[in-house]
Amino acid sequence: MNKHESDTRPLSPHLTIYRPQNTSILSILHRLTGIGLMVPSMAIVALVLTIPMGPKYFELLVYFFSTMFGKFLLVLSLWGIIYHTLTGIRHLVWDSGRGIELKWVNISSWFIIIGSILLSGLIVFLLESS
Amino acid sequence: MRKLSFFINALFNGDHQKGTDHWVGQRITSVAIVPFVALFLIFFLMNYGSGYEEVKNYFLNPIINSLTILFFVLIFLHLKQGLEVVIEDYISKKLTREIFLKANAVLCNCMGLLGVLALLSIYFIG
Repeated sequence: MNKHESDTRPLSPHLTIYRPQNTSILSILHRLTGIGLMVPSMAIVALVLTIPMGPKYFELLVYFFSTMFGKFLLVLSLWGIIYHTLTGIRHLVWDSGRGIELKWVNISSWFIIIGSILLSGLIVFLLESS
Repeated sequence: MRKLSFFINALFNGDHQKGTDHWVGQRITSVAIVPFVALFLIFFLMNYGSGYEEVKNYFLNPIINSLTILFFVLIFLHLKQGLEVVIEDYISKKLTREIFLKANAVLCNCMGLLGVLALLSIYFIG
């Protein structure tokens, strides 16, 4: 294949003509949460970095995560971590050749959707009530 | 021995031209991260709202400190691997893709390194 050809080849997912199904939606969300989890990963590094820098910086970071926007990020991150882990485990199960029948894909999809919301909701509830 | 060098190559070489190595590397970090996510959620729940001194003392614990170092290495390796696949999927122009892949590798490695250095400095310098 020459260089010109490789530059003009179409991209793989043709989202505009693709009928939404729980398989495709969950797959897209797995990717999106994966990209989005960059933010909490950096936040954790930032948190650890503030400790040698001193209490002033630590308090500043804590303050940021106590604002409405900070809390929103926190809740979204929590759900993202749980969701990405659950779909990730499902990907590993798929890689082992199990659970690829449509019936199991549908069951595990709903399990992941409901499970991730319930689990992150429970954690937020426990944090708020403590 | 050959198997070991294959795993090491898959994890750290990050050669995105070698599909199988990359795929295997991504599975290794995925499996390794799963228990860490559970630990992270539990520790996050237990320590949310702690003050500066508490958090500092927490990371002065050698077990917590070294586990967190391992966690950082794993998540930033995994982040790098994942973003590599995304970049390869959506950026078809070769030069732009190469630039993004390099920037991604530098960014992820630096973030991981920064986290590890911060943890080490908490433990050894205070």
